[in-house]
Amino acid sequence: MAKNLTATAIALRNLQNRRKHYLTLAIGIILAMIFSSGVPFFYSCMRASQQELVNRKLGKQDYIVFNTQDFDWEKLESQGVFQETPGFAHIQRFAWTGEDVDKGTAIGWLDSRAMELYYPQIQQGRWPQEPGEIAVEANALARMQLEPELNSTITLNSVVSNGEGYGENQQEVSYRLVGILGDKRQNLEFQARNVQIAVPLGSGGEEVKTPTAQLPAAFVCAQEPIPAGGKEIAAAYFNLNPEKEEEFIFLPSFVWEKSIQIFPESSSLGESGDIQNSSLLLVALATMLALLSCFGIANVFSSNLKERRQQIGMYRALGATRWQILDIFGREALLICLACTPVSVALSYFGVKFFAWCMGENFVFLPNLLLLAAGAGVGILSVLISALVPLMGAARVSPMQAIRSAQWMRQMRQHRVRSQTDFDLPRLLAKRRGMFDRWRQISVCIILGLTVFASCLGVGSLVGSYRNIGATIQPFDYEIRLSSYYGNGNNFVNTLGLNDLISQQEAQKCLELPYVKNIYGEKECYVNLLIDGEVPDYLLLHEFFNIRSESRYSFNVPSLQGQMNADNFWDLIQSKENPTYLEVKEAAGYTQEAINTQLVAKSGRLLASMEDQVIAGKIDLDKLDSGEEIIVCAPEKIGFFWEFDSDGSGSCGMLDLSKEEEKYSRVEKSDLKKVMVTADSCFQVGQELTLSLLVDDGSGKLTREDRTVKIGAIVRTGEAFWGNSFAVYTTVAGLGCFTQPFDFKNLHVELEQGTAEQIDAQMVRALEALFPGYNIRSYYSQVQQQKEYFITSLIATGSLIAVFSAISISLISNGITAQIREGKRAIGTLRAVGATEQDIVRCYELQIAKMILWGTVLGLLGCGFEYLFHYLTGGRFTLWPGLVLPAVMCLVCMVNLRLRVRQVIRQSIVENIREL
Amino acid sequence: MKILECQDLTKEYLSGETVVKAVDHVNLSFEQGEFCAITGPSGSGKSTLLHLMGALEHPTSGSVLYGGQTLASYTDHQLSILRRRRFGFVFQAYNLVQELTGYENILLPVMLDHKKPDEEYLRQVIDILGIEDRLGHLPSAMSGGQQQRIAIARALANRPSILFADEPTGNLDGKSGREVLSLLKYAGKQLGITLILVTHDQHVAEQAQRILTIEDGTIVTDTKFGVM
Repeated sequence: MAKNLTATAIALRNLQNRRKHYLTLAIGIILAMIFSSGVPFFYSCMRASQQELVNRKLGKQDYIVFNTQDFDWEKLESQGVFQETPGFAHIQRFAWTGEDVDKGTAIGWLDSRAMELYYPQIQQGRWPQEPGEIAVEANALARMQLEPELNSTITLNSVVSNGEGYGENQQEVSYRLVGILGDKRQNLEFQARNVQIAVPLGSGGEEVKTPTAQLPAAFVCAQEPIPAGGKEIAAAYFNLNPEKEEEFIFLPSFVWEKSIQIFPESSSLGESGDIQNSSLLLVALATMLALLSCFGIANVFSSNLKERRQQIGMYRALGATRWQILDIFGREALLICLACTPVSVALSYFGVKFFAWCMGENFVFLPNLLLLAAGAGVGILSVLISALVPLMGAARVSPMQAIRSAQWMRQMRQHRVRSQTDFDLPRLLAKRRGMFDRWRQISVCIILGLTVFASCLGVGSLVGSYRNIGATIQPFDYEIRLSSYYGNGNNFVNTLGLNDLISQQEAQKCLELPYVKNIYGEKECYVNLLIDGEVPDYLLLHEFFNIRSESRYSFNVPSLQGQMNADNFWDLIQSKENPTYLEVKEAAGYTQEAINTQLVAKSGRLLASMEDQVIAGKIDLDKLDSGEEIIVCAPEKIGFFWEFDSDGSGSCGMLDLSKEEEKYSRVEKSDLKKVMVTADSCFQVGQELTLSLLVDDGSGKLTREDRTVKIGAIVRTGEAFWGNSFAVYTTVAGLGCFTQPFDFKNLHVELEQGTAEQIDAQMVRALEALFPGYNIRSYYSQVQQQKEYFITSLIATGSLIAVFSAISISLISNGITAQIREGKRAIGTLRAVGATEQDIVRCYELQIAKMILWGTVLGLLGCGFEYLFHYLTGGRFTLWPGLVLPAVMCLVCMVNLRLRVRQVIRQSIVENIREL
Repeated sequence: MKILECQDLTKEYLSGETVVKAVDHVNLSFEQGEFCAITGPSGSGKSTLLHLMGALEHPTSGSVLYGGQTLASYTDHQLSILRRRRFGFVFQAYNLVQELTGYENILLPVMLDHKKPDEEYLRQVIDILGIEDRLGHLPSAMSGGQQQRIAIARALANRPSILFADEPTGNLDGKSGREVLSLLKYAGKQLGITLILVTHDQHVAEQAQRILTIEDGTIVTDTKFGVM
């Protein structure tokens, strides 16, 4: 016998006596703790993965400063400007192959600290250990058009460092390639556009400027001797101490001119966004699952405590205070929770580890003791909080409940009950019991409604993702696009030389690459549509948007600010003609009104693939090639809207009103006061248009060329409507009918069939080497990424629906189980008066069916609401899961119910009706 | 005419590792319309015997015969139908269904049998028991005596052949107990029902035509009196 009967001792005794009952609870607690602990684990995984990706792609440093050998870094370090001691790359030479100096690389060695910061990724081989050995980044090899085997010798042209830059004497140098490294310079280059360092070309005084001439992508060992007369130049790698940034800004100006500041958010790290998206999805999922599990725990606790109401009432009758009840039963919860913690945290840990492993090398999970403790803490806290609500309810139980259900009696007395003279017992009992147990029914209905809603939306979203994969598949494999396109001029005039476009020769080089089957270029220029007489509203809206806008959605027109309101805005904007327009009109000698737009020349193949977007007419490639016809891309109805901010300024946007989702995307959601002017398309198939091309060769002199063409087809805008109410499409040959030759803005590359899978990475590298400074987009890898995203979404949505369903089923089943246990005596009574098992089962079946029906209706109502108002998914959902899922849940609950009832019925009637 | 018969009826329970014989090789029979009281000290097995005869529990060995047919040959479903049509039960703790009103509790066996209630007969029962004014109330709004009357009315609703009453007055005060007992006797007599009643109260037992005394699961005396 225990000498002191403490609350812990009572809790332990209770746990011992009710082992079987606590099994379900323990499983629920473990689940909840797995998900709760998963939240910090997933979050940590996301942060670590993002950091790891940044480290692998850019290195661990914030700054790289070139040509720093004469600077007193020690002094700066003593001032605490750096987080840790800077590291240095010692550049020995700049090397290249053939004539392509700008595609070469600096060669140097890294000291131990720089090595730590630069964080090189060895893909093949090893780091150089002896003089004469070299390790080179894969992209640098590709740029130099080298495809050497490991341990083979590579020979390069080079200029040697002279202590300030590079000397003028060219010399050949040979190394044994011992390692191929992951790309870093390629990624850093995006952030180093302004660091143009001259590389001399021999003694003739010629030089080539390249942005990363002192950023090594090829490394030798520290013992590598520099040729006589040469002197190493140093590039410093460091992380700035954010608290001492002020000291750093006093660095000599050359540091600023020759440094790269690394922004990990850079667009070159698109995968970082993928990591964040996937991880945040999982964090959200884990949070939701944890919340649901906590809800489940609260429900199981509630059922458990409800079953033990008489026991609690007895404690109360014996003088236990509410706090003592809370203490005793709270300790039970804490003890189970503590017992479940190691298993839960371990399962959660391995779950996240498994997830990271499944997601590939981009995902890393680096747990530490603090993180594990945080996971355990979050888990325990979530369980205790979820147990607290039913515990507080239990502590309020009146001592009368030791004798009979006072609360129930009170509720019964508050209701008027009319006797039924002819009734179906199960139906009547279901009705009466449902009436009195409404909170449980309501909570089940809500969760079930959410399940139905989430499943409809989730499956709808999955179907959408699947369709997106189809939409991404293009008739080509790669796209080469200028990373920054400045436009061709002032929207009326094409100014040549503003952009470094792709020439025909460069396109030809691309076609000569191995495995390339075909290339398709896209050209683009501004063209003016000349209108005699009054300009239709459709074009006015387009013109206003195009001429005055600085961006699509948010801009201010200073001259109109303060004057504009909802009533006068349309008249006012028509009264303000753009001065640029007037100047151009005069210079070009236009007597008509000119509406500028883009003339986009696409490959015939791409235009042919637009068949499904045709609203009227027919795409005739021959007529397009001959310049006889053009295609007009114009929505059937557009809306130009202006939103007024509180200060009288505004923002505007253009909507394609022929698309349902466009109507909702903007117009329905904003609370700002807005006005919208709409116009129907003014284009017809067969209509003749006069297109005028203005070209400025850079001297300021305009050349004008007019052509009259027919509209062959009218197409609608693609997936995204970017505010261009109309544009003109033709083929590259069609654009060639104008005398002015334009270079390619984009190039599309098609590989020989089935080769992309094997050579995707090499092809990207080859294209990057051929077109430095351009964005290379691999549709093959994009489709792969979308497929991966689809699979992740499938797993996430599937888990979400499964857990939602499991929670709903568990809520219903726990409710039914508790009701059956609690109503054991009623069951015994019914049996004693002749009710069969079927009669008893029906009493509960009707309740389950009722709850599931209401939950389903609730969920479907939510779907209907979403369909009407498009808040979450733009109305994209699938209905069948909302019907199938409840049916499955109903089935599972019915089976569970029969098992539970049979368990009670297995006992004799006397055991059923025996008093406690 | 024998309506119910026990042949070598035995019921054993396991209490820890010890086997307890609650009913030990009992042989008995009851005539149609008989009023019999089973009495004995606490734990003697009188309630268990009643439960076995009422098909609320299965015997360990031996058999109960109703109308000459052993209950062991009945399926669970058939036993349910037997209980709802031929047997009526009155428990010490009333055992009314809390969600149903007094009248609905009375109708319960009729409704389970999917029959139309015989309103005239039920009116007669209700009149006999004097529960007219409690029919629309839920059990929680009734006193113990009122609940027990409803329980008796429920037991009589399907015109049973046998009415089993387990300590029907045990939870009632003296006056209510006496009233309930009189009503049971009166109803039994009026409706020609066999009444088998378990009690440890000697005064209650003395009201019966026949008194069975049970000790340690065995019938020790079986005393029959004249018509009362």
